[in-house]
Amino acid sequence: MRKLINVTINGVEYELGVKPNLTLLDLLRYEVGLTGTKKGCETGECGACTVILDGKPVTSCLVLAVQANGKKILTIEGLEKDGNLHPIQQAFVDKGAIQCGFCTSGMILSAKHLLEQNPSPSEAEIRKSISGNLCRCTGYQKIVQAIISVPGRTEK
Amino acid sequence: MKKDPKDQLSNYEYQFIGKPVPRHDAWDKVFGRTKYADDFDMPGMLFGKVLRSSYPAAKILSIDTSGAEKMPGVAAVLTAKDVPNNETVTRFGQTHQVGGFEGLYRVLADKKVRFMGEAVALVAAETEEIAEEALARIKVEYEQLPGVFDPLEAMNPDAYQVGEGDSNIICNYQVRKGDVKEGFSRSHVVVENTYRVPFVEHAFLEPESGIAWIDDSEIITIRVSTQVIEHFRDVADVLGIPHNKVRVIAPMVGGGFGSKEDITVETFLALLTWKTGKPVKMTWTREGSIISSSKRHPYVMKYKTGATRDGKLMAMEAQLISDAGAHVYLSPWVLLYSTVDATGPYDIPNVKVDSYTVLTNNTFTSANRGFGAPQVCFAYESQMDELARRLSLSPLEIRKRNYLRKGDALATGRVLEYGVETEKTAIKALEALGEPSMPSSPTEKIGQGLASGMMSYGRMTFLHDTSRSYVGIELDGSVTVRCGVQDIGGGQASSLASIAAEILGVPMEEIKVFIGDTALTPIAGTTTATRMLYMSGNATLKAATEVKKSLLPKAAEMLEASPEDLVFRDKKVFVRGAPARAIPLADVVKACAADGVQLYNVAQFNAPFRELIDFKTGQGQVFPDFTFGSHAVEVAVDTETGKVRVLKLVACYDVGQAINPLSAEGQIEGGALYGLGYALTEEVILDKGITLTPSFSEYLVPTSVDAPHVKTIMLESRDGAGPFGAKGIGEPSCNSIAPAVANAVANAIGARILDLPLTPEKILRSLQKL
Amino acid sequence: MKRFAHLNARTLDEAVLYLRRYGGRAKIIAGGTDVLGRMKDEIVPTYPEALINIKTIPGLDFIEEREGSLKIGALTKLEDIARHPVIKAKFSALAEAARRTASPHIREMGTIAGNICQDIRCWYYRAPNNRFPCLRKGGGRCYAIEGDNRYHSIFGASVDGGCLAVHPSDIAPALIALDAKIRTSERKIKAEHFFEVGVCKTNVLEEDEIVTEIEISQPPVGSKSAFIKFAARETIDFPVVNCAATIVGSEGTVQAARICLNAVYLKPYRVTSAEQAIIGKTISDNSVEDAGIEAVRQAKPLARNTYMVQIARTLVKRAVLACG
Repeated sequence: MRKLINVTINGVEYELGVKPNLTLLDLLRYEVGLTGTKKGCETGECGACTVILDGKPVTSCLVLAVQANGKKILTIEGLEKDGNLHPIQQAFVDKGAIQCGFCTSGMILSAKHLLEQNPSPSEAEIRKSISGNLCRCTGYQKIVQAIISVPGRTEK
Repeated sequence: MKKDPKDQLSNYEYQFIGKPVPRHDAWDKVFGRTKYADDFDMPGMLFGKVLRSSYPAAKILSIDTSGAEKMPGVAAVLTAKDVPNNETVTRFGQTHQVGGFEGLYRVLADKKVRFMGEAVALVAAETEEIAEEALARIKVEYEQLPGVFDPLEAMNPDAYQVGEGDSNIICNYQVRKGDVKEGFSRSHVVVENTYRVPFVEHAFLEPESGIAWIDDSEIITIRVSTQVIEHFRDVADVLGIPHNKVRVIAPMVGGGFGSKEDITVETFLALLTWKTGKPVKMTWTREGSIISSSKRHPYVMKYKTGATRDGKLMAMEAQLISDAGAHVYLSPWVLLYSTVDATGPYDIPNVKVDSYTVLTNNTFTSANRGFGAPQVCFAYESQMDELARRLSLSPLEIRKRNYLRKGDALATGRVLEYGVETEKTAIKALEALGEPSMPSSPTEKIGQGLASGMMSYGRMTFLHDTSRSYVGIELDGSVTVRCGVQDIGGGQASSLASIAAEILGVPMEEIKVFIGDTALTPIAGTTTATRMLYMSGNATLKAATEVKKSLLPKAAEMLEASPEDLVFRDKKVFVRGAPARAIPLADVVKACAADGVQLYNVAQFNAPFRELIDFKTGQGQVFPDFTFGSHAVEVAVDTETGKVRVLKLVACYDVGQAINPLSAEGQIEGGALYGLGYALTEEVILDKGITLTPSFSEYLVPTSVDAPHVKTIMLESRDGAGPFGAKGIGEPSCNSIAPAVANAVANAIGARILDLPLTPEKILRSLQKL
Repeated sequence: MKRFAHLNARTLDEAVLYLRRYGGRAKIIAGGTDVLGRMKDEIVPTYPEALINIKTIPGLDFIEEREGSLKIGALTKLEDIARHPVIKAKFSALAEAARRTASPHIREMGTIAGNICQDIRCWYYRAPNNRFPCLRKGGGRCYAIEGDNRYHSIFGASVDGGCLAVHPSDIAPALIALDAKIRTSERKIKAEHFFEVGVCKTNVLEEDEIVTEIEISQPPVGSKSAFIKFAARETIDFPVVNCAATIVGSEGTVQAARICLNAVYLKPYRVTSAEQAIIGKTISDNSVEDAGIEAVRQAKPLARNTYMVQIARTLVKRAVLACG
């Protein structure tokens, strides 16, 4: 039995019929076609499916789509403006923070949340903010350096 | 401090090589636009699922699929009897027939299951839910068998037989050099230890996934997350159709680390799409991935090493036993790597190595970053520190007295023809580590450790490895590279762009690299063995150089200069020393096209071809070259809880020539953390063949807050076998971390732990707190 | 995930009504981080017919000081607790326990009530697809007895004398050390009486009972609390062992103490012997050493978890020291 939900994804309003056992992750990937959000473990342990739900970073694999009703969701696809990279995206490109790229969407969204809360985080705070996002390729170093280098961040 | 010009990252003579530039694939990845395997759908596609064995060792008495077949929405249910060639002898994508060992590849379990998680049946259905339900309705009757889970036990002649043969021992190698008895008798100190290392999960973030369809010319096309598109041959053999009727496409891969070197979903997909005529998609769950994909081999390693009073190694004897798990896969080759690398980067006059790989009913083991090198590195580098301790020498000093140098021969007789800068890497790593930190509390102990490593790049020379690359220049001066590489995140494709850019003087952004498609890109071989830059880099270098050569006469004519004096740069051709005498590259290309000059080249690069080595003595050449380097680590050990914190980590490796320093550094940093997990937290734990760590809450990959800052020092000897003197770094970068950590812990607590990972339990036991 | 019905409860009464209607075949969902994981993996043979969403009930997400007590609504997110200035200042064990729970993302989703109601941890029990039909599922035996018990109980078994699983909550020992009370749709219970061991059971809640609020009295003058967690990694992990302590002191002498370990037994394990060891003493290296020894005097470690005893002892020591 499908339930009707209204969600705003990257500023676009959707009215969708969803089954109760559908996760927000599967809704985004397979019903809305936003495949930038990745499926890595499905149990909240890898962070590849991170999205911003009503201003908070969550693992969308552990959110039921029906429970996203009435909420605002930001995915990686919602970050660019008029084809321009968001400064965090630019920093990831410039600093070589990307290898296989499978953690990248989640990492960038976690970083975005951090910088909104705290424009001048220390390295320790940066590492903490992405501690729910596993990366197997980079050793995290260039990711941390990229977040440090985002313009507007002031040294602590 | 005087700087060695070779150590400088900037290369003034190159325009692109050695320059840290963003990789061309970075933009799509930050936009979330890269279409990985699971991001790609086809209209009307079905969903494939695998029914996996519930037991590690059992007879299959019967399989009843009728309940599943009857379900509405189920399109196919397949078992072993439905597979045209369920068993094939595979040489794992080899293009050259080699002797020695061939692995049985069995698509679906038949009569007997060998490990828990082995595929027993396949389902394709209209939705994932229906497919899942259909799996539950397949009734398999098993008779449980005792199984064997310890490789040492499995070696006994009367042990439970995992396969159908009469021994669980898959193979044995020997290395013989000099006379170890004599060597030990001339040693003043002999250290003897048995080391153990665990199963390791690759833990790439992207689970195995793919989609297959049949296109209108009856070609089975499989778009799959893989390190080896050449498995199209194996898939065709399973289906019993010509090789050219299977096409494999590899999109960007979300991490491989060796586990996507073996076939994962591709055969299943091909079978299901071939049976149903419809597109079929299959993506494994994380649990499915962990319980059924390959693991890094656990080893039991008995080492005996002797040295004279002044620290010169006299003899080394090693017995290596690896757990191959339930199927052969790449175990013989992994073992051969370990066997050749068993001495480490040291010159030892008397060497005896005996190695075995053994079937058990554990999850099968195969390639994992390092391919047999990290296991022995842990053992030989622990031995070196123990010898140093016994001889009251510093860890660096004893190593310096024994490092192999360029022109020296390995125990296998192979003379090192390319750069060997191990000593320099060790000195620099230790220098950068600096003085030990002060403990933060009275119960904390600080220790520092050093380890050096040696690992090959490029495949074994008796496999007669080759790669091909197409480089073409378009009428507007832009460049197209076509090369069948699989890009698993290491920048495999991007480095080819750098090479073509350098030779043709065209900016990176005007170079398009098409990769990973057996129908459209020249076959480049596997993205394994740290071979891609070496092999496909050289092929691309060759092709680009040929294209340039074919443009030169016309350009010389147009510029009224001699071809030797021409420079290609910034999409222009100009006369050396007279940049004003320039013409646009596009004009040269157009003029060449009008004259019918060939504007592309497909080049093949062949690695050195050697024959199979003598497995009784190990003598011969196995690898094209090696990458050498060192790690230095500082740890703090909490003596009341056994917790180890890594305070400092320095990685110093000779990369030959960094094509893109950002990428090379990234490999070294990532490799360091990969090795750190091996040292401290990672372990696939099995209880009589059943995985107890099927998720990331039990299998503990280091997180951002566990990772130390990695200080990378890249040496550039420009003395490697790759393009521009590059060496391979992908796998070697993780080689010597674990022993460096183990040595640091031993330095901190004054006791040596012989088993990885270095858990609190083992540390507290060594501290005699338990 | 298999199918289930999903019902949004608008009031507590409605949620209770749904629970009664389904008679044990429904589960409450709040943050979802534990229940959805359990359902995805199908770790138990039974599967809920319905999930009752209580996030739609207004007024259950709050942190306030009222009538001399700290009150925390059941739906309060762990991250909000970790960051709350009053909790950080006055109830530091709870703030620290929340901060050390799971990962930043999970803390933005997981609720305080969900955390204390979460199911136990044992890799045999939690193995997907009911691979080990163990004692706790009504099956024949505990697989950890002869199996790999490196993360199991050091204080013996329970549930028909057999189950060696451990309770993984970081919040629970903090609440017990702070002598919190748990208000449900039916009653108010002391935190230390909330946890109860049984087949498929970790607490005393009836089938139709829902946690609504956590209440902690203002700490007495001179009291301090602390929480220490030991895990393999610095984030995400469940504890190998954790410990919370509250110490009330006066003129340098310990007047009262509450010390609770977790992840060492099927329910949070209050170590009164350690409390006794420290009461009347000043906090010093010697006295905390005694408390540590007393805390684990009754330990009955298994083949693979003796190290947990040493860690538990150390954590008790350090938790008390941190209150000094």
